[in-house]
Amino acid sequence: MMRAGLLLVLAAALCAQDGATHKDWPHYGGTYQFWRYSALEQVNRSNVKRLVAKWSFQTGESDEGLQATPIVIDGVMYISTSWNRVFAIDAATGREIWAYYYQNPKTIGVIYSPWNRGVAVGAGRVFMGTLDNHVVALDQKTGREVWKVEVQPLAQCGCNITGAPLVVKDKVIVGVTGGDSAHRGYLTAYNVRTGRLAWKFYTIPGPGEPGHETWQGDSWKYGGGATWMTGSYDPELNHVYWAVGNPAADFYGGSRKGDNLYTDSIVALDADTGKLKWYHQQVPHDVWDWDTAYEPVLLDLRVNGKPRKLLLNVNKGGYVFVVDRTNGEFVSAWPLVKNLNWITGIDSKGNLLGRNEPKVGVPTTICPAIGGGRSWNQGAWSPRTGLYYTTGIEWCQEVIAQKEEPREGREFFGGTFKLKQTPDKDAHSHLGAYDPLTGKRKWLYRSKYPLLASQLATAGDLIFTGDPEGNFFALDARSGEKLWNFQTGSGHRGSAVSYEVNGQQYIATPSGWGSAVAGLMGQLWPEAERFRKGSTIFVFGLP
Amino acid sequence: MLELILLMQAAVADPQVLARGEKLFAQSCSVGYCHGVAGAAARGPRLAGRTFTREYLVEVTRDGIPRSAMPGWKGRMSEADIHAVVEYVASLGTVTGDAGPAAAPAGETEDLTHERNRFLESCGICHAGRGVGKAVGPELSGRTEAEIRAGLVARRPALVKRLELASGESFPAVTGSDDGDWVQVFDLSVAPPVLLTLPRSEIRQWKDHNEWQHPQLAHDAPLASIARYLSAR
Ligand code: HEC
Repeated sequence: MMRAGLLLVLAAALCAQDGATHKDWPHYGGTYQFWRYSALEQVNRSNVKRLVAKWSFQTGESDEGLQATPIVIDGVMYISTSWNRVFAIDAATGREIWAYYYQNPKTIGVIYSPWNRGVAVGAGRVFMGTLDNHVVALDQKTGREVWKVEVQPLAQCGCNITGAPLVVKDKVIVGVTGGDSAHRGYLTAYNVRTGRLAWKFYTIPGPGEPGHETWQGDSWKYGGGATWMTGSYDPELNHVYWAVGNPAADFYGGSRKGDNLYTDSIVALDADTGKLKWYHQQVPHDVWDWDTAYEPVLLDLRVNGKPRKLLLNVNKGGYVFVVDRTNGEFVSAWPLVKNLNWITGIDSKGNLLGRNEPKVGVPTTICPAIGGGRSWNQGAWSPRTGLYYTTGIEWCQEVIAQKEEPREGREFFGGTFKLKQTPDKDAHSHLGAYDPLTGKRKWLYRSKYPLLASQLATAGDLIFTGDPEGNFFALDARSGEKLWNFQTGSGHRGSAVSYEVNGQQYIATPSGWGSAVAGLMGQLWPEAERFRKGSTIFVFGLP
Repeated sequence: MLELILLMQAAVADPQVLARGEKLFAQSCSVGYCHGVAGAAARGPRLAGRTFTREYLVEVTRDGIPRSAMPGWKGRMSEADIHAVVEYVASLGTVTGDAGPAAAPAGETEDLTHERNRFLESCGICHAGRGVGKAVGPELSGRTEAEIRAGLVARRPALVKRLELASGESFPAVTGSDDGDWVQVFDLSVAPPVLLTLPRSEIRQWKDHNEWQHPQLAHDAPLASIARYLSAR
């Protein structure tokens, strides 16, 4: 196992791909490669026990917790909260530099709210998507609004923005929610300086475009395909990679017969024009709400001895897919969870086998539950260990599909679900260390409740993450042994990062319980209804 | 007193209304991550087994809860449907403080959601109309089809000017608010318009812009539908 790890390091080094962060944490996923891996090693396995809290910052907005990933550049941290507050904070002391409170309408009226998962920083601006479907650009130094543009009227589309934008060259790329509404998804890019719309890519092809034939009748107008999380970027290929969510209605596919492109797909777009380069669909004609929405992780690894440029992505249905990121060719897929019954497997070409679809009016037990074999919280890749670290959830649900007419811009689920125990009465969660190509597991850390925070890997061979009960902790990246723990007082649903200011390495984590999936937990774990909310950033370092 | 009130809510709602409410609830309320099947709780609060007054249920269902994820369903559901949902939610728990199910409201207004959406996507990014949209250009409530057709092809705009910046750059724009040091303008170069906040020093001059025309997307819009929305009572 160790040897395999070393070989992978070599492969990465050969291709000179550096997906590690250093002093800064410049992008949502750390770097464009989305490794969530910091090359800092001042804090490591031998001294992590001495980690102490350096400062904390209360955002004052605890509605649905704190789900963001801080961005850190030149000693300044930028963070957003529910209801679209943004703060710039001195990353060494916790002193507020500026605050921006976006004026949202009193009620948003769509189910994808009120959280925000992060900002993007570039070209001297801080960019945020809003609950009422606008994009704002703030002056990085002062927090003053520079431009603001409406992506699409909220009342019409039933969609809005909760994910972090991605800055690529002179554009800021923004995804929208709306995948569980009668809505046609898209991705838009705006000029960073002027705010002018640069391109728009519809995730559902319109009449005359290739792929349109994978939709029945008018279903393409209401077929979902949200782009609600954040993508990645390969500067060499000039591809932007984005994960496209589930088709709508979620559980009823009878009025959208066909593969329903490009839902549940990874799309590669030309960063300058937004034109489709390739796509890989993970779940054709999805009837389980198995978004391909999560982070596309860019890895250069050897496959059968041959170096390849790959893209790894965790599907909400609990499978991990690896494709070639130059052309979308399927490479491998492996299950992340044990309780998975919606298919019996995936063949060597990436085809799904033995589909177990929900039935109209009759309950069907489907595992995992709608919250996912994993939620949107992100995994981490360590080039030092050659392992991919991510969480998984063992849980099931009873789904009843129902035929529904689309109502433009409104909820469009086509059924209902109710969480259920696993067949072995052991609903729980875990954080594992896996070979990224085969899923061969090196270790597994078990958790009573669903782990819903992202992982941070560091060159100190540590994995940092938090749990719903407020514990923020460090595991040994090589063994999974718990080395350090700190109780932050509220559960973890955001993403920890690491950065350096004046020679000191810091580990920062949002703490603040909430979110849609957190709310669902009460159906299986009633005590979770009482988990305390919060919205604080905790920052740690060596004394 | 309390017992009396509790006894009073034994009155049962019309089974047809309840069935309709159940279906609507499954479609719009239990969905996704909201109230869960039969109000069993999800990220929205549990509704099953709780005690509410009917007035409160009606109020929250119609108007939503400000600064929360709970939307108001007024305008998104008919009054009769709101009534059915309220009766269904009431049936999941206990209702206090009134004499039983209210009668279904009569007199539905025409559903113009489709027409409103056509207005929003083609015009509402620049115009307000009947309480929705963005006020960059003039308010359009009450306009007839003939009036909007005329407005779409009119020349010599009154609001749109050519704004020249200190950098020499220029573009079609409409002024927004102005607080002395900072000036807001809508940049109309491309749709949707961009609201810029500029330091006054960046503005060199405003010039007439007789060539400005509505973008193609406005001309391509279904104007009859849009007029129906704008001129409906
Ligand atoms: C890109 C922004 C934009 C879009 C989109 C747009 N308009 Fe306009 N419209 C304007 C502006 C700005 C004016 C004011 C022009 C002026 O007089 O300077 C205007 C003027 C008008 C007028 C004349 C109103 C008056 O009182 O003089 C009408 C009518 C009108 N628009 C109708 C529409 C309709 C109908 C649509 C949709 C099909 C539409 N517009 C879409 C920006 C827009």
